[in-house]
Amino acid sequence: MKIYNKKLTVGLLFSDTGVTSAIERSQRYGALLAVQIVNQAGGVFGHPVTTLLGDPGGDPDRYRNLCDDYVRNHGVKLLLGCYMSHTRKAVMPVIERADALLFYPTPYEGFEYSPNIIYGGPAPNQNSAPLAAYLTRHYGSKVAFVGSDYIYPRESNHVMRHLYKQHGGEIVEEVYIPLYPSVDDLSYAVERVFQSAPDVVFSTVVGTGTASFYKALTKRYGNDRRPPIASLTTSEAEISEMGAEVARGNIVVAPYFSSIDSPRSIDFVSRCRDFFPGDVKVTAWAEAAYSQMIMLCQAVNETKSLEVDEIRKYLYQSEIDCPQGKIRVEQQNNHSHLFARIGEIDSQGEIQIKWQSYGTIRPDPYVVVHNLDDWSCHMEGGEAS
Amino acid sequence: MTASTILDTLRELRVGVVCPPSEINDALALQLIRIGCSVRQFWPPPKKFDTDIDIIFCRVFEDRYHDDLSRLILNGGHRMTAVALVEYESPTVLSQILELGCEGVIVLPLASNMVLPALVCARRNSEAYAKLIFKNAQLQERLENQADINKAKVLLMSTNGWSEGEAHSYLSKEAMKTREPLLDMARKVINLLK
Repeated sequence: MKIYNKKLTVGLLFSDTGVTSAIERSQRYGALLAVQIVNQAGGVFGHPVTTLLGDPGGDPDRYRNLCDDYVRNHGVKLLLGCYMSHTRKAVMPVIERADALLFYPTPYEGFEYSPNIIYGGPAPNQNSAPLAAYLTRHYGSKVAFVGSDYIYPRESNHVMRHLYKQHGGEIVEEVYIPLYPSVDDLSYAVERVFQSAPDVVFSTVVGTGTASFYKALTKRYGNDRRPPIASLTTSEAEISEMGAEVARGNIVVAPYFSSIDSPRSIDFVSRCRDFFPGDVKVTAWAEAAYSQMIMLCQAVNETKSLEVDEIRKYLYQSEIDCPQGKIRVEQQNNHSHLFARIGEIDSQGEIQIKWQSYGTIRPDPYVVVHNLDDWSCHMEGGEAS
Repeated sequence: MTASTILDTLRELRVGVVCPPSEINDALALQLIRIGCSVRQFWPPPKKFDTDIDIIFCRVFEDRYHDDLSRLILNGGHRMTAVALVEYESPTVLSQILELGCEGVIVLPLASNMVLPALVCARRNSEAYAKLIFKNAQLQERLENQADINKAKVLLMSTNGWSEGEAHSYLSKEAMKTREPLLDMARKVINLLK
C-alpha cells in the first residue's frame, strides 16, 4: 500500500456531559467504532485515522469554542457532530468561514442549507410526515404536543399541526418545558396533557427530560389506559433510561432501529455491543454518526484528498451501504436519502418495526406544507416487518 | 393576504432571476429551487417577460441597466414583486432601489438563509400594496359616483323646488321603472337639466 504524507484527522463535536449526553455519547461511540473499523482495514493514506475529542457539555458557546479550536489550532477541516439545533447554528459560521465540512448525524427541523454541512439525519419530510400519517391512521384524531423549549420542538410541532389539521385532527394541548425540567415543570406538563384527554401524545422532549416526562405521564395515568407517546427523537438510549415498563406501547420513528434483522444491522449491533461502554446504547443517531464517518473515510480514501470540494463531489456520486440500508447524499441540498421506519416499543423495551418505507426517501428540507395524503397512501404500501 | 396563504403557496411562485451569469446567480437560483419555486433566469434584462412571473430578484448596479430594469418592473404591474440584490449601500444604489419600487432587498454576499425571509416579506409587501391600490381605485370610483348622484339631486331640487328626500325618491323611482342603476339615472338627469 502506498504511504502518503497526509493523515486524516476528524474533529468530533459531541457532548459527554449535559442534558443530551446519553444520545451524544452514543453518536460519539458510533463515529469512533467506524474509525476503528477503518483503521483495522489499514486506515486512510496508509495511516490510522485520528479523532479530536472534547466535551462541549451541550452548551452552544462551548461548541463554537471547541470547533474554533479544532479549525484554528489543529488545522482540522473535517468534522462530525452536533445534536441540538442551536449547537449546530453556533458552529456554522466557524465551519463556513474556514470552508470546512461538518457531518451532522441528527434529525432536525429543516429549512437550512449550508454548502459546508452534510446533513445525515432526517428532515421533517422523512420522519414527521410518515409519522403523522401513521398516527392518524392507527390512533384517534386528538393529539397533545409536549416539547422541550427550543427550536426543534417548536418547528416539529408546526409541521405536525399542519399535518394533523389536514386530516381533521385536533391539537388538544401544546406545552413546552425547559431543556432541564424541574419536577414542577414536568408535573405541570403532565397535568395539562392528562386534562386534555388526547388519543396520542406527540413528544419532542429531548435529553434527560425524556425519560422523566414519560415516567411522570405513565404515573399520572396509573392503571388507566395511557395514550401512546410518539416521538421523532426518543431512541434506545432514552428507552433504557426510562425502563421497559414505561417505554412499552410508545411509538418512535427513525431511519434505523437496532432491532432490524438484516445481516448488516446484526453485524453493526454486535460490533457496537463489543465496542460501546456498557451504558451507551445503539441508536439511530449512533448509526447515522457511524455511517457518516464511514462515508467520510471512504471519500478521503477514494479521492486521495483532504479537500472539502473533492470530498463533497465524491459524496454526491456514491451510495453507501449502511446498517439502515443503502443511502446517499443529495447534491441539490446536502441532505441524505434515508429510510423511514416506525416502531412500537414492546414489553421488553425492544422496538418492533411496524412500518418501513420501500426505499429511501428523498430529502426535502424546505417543505412548508406537507401533504398528508401523499403519505397516507404509502401507509398501505410500506412493509411491516 | 394572510401569512399562511403566502407560506402555503410558496411552491407555486414563478420566480425570475435577473442577474448576470455569476456565482451569485447560481447560488440564488439553487436556493430558490431548494425552496421549491419554479425559477427562470434572464440576462440581460428583457423588455418584458414572455411568461407569467410573480417575483423577480434583480441585481441593482450603479446606473447600469437601471432603465431596462425600470421598464421591466413597470411592465410587470403591481402584482409582480421585486427584490433587489445589492452590493453597495451607496446613495446611488439606495435611490435606485427606491425608484424601482423594490419590496425587498438582499445585501451581498449572499447566504442561503437570506433568501426565504426576503422572499416572504417582499411578497407580503407587494400583495398588501396591490390590494391597497385596488381598494383605492374602488373608493375613488365610488366617491365620483356619489358626487354625480348628489349633483343630480341638487339640480332636481333647484329646478322643481323639491326637498332632498323628494329628489332622492324621484331618482330611485325612475331608476326602478327603467331598470337602470341609480347612477345612470342621475347622469341622465344631469345631462337634461344642465
